[in-house]
Amino acid sequence: MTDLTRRDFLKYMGLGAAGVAGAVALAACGGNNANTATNSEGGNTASNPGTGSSAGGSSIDTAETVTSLDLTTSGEKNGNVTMGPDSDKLTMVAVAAKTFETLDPFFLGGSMNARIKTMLWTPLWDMPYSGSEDKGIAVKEWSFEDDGKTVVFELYDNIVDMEGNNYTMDDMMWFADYTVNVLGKNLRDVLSVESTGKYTGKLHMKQKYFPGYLSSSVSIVCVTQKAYEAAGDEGFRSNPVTTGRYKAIDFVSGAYAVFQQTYKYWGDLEALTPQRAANVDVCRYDVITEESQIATALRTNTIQAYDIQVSTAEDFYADPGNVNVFKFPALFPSFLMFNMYPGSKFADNKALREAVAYAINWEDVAYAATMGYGSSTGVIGHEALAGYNKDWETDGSAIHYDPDLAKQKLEEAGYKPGELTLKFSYNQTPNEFAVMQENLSQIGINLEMALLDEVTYLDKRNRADLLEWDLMGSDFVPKGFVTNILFGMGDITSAQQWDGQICGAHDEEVGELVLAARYGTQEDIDKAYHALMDRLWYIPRFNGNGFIGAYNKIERVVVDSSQELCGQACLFADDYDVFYK
Amino acid sequence: MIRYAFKRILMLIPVIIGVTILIFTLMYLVPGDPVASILGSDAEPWEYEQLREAMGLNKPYIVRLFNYIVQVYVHLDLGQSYLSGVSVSTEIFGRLPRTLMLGFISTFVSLIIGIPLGINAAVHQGTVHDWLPLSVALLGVSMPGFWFALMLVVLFSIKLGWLPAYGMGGIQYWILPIMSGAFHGIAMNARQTRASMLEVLGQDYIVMARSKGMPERDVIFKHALPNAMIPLITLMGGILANIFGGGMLTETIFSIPGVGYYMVKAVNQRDYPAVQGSVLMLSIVFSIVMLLTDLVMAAVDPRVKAQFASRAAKKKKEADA
Repeated sequence: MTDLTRRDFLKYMGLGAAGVAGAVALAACGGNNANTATNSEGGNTASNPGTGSSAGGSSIDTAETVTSLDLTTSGEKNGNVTMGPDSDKLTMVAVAAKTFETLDPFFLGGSMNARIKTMLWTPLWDMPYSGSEDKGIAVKEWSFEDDGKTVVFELYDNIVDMEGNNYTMDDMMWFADYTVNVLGKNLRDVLSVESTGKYTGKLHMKQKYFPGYLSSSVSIVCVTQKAYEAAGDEGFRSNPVTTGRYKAIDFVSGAYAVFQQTYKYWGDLEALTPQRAANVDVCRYDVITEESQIATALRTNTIQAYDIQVSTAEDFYADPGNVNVFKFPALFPSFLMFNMYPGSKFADNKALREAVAYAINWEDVAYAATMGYGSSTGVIGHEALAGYNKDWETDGSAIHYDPDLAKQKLEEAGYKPGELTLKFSYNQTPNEFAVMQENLSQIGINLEMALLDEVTYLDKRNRADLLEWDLMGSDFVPKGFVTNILFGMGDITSAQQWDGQICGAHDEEVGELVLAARYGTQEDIDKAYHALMDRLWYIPRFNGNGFIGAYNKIERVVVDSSQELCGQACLFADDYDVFYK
Repeated sequence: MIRYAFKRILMLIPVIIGVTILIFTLMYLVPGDPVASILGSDAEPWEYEQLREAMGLNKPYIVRLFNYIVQVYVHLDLGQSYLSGVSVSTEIFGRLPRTLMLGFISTFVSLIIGIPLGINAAVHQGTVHDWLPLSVALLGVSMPGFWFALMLVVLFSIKLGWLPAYGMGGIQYWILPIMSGAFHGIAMNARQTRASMLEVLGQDYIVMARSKGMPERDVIFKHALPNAMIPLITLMGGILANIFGGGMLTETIFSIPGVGYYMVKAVNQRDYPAVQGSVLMLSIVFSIVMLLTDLVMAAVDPRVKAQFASRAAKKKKEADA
């Protein structure tokens, strides 16, 4: 081989590399649309009694299609001009903090994906944010049999999917059978489904009813068998036929999904829970899984708002001063779980449980977790949980901080100060658990702290492995496990849980006004409110069915604590007057 | 040459099977339960056990390994994601173009920038044209890629607001990831080109060419460069392979739904089929790239070619004897 040949070879190799790169680039750009959903509205012949107008006044009758979807970030108002008083359409770019590869209803699990699932498919029940009672969405009427666990219900007979297929009990039976017997999964707290007629049936539940139980524990949504089988699971993965208020118009696995109102929702919008009466036409979820990326996206106005679920994340977003973080009281119950597996330190030792309970300064914990909002619960056990016995019942008054009593209880439990070391695992909100560690050390109980990722955390908790943990911290109630006795800052008998904070792209004026209103007069609150009204993208509230755009809904807000201004006002965006006293 | 290529292809088979066994074993040993990810916190203990049994997770290690190998190599099926129910092959092949595009373009950019920088540095050894690119290159090889990527985001997205910080869309979405992926390669190429060029420029035939009055441009581009490029071919294969492997960082930082991002997410969620399929696919791509590199080396380097020619001639001679 001569020099000339090598030179030629290298020359052609360079050209070839350029060609390959170009070809791959073209292929990849073309491949981006491989999963694009192309739903059409045609073929829906079902009645549509509730589509006259939404509460927010959007003219959804005439808005059959969105011909051009502008989700770019440039705009005059420090954000997305496609949203707000200047826009024809309400659109919202949100964050899906967990990636999703499918829109198949059988695989949309987890809290985030469950929200998307109920956007696309009608749930049986739902719960208004303002209350704790279940509200039937697909279910017209229901009652309970004497055992308290069997729900007798009747479905609306006019539920149809986008293609006009009527939803019946046969579809529900198929859904349950497919989930359990084909996929090997469960239906959350539904043990079995029984059909008693075309639109009537029974659900056999795992537990006795408590307020909010059906909306939180029934994972069945209205999917029609005919549509699913016609499209196949691959078809439903990216281009599902829905029965809810939204349909998918664009989807790229692991990257984003865009949902648009179908405008042919089968039901009565007025009958929906407020959060489902969202007046957002198009909602795009971008998958961003890293907190730092979310913060960057906020700072660069790529997204308008993000619902921070963890109170301690506030500093992360607010520190550089580029993002407004608006807080309102977060009443997430925070639980401390005892490992109650037979043979554990806590299983037969009430005095030890009490020692821990009295050793912890709940006011400090509440401050660390929720800026002081929240209160200690009066119970150290709940009958809904495994391992409960009546011996644990209290008079209901709050458990107060009493280190001397705690020391006495510890001795009663058979331990001397410094003798007991407990393994403590948690998966979030480290601040409050650091307080607990300090409190317990004061009475001579050492905590070995272990911050776990979610999967490991669930795994350890579910197994109640005595070698792994004695105490666990959590912000949600586990059900039916061998763990559990718990107490927390929220009263666990209340089903109300509010989200923590909402943050939006930086706007100095709004930030100052809201800060002033936080401890200010009614005039300050009004100023902040109007500033927010002019900047719609701070107000939208993430909810189970999109976002409540508030600019044409809220007439007046009166609050005694403007910390509640952003979040709470949006919760009640369907109401024209919001009063908090 | 054909025998060599065939032999190298055969050698890929045990490598890929070895990777399969290794990744399966590692995932087996990782703590955490995929069943907990699938069923969430609301299931009863018996439901966990039921699903664990249905998924075959309660079977012994050796049985699961055997089943997996049969599934992959006999049925050519990478399985279904535990969490999304989607075929792992579908997900990987849907994402592979993005990963390949990122890898190829980053490598291409690293070549077209790195090589001229290296040539320039070698030709102007000891001047500012030498030490300045060399200093930047030193920074490039020693700086962690993820940190550089974050700095790009801070500068171009947050401070200047010129480019999007994450996601997918038009060409502007690819600029930062490619810059991030290419920087290390530019540094490596510049350093290697400089070193090779300096070595070649000191050879007798270069002195001879200059003494004959050949223009300096011809000396460099016709005589020195082609010979100096040979080591770069090996390096280029390594850079490309590194970009594919490091793609998981770049893709995660910029939220690009490629194979690397998919793999990271799958590891976090204990989605075993997805992790195993992704690693397997990346190892195949990696092996093919290294194979091509070796074949190209064998084709362009007369010493390597002569080595094979002499072996073949020797064998023929032995056969004749």
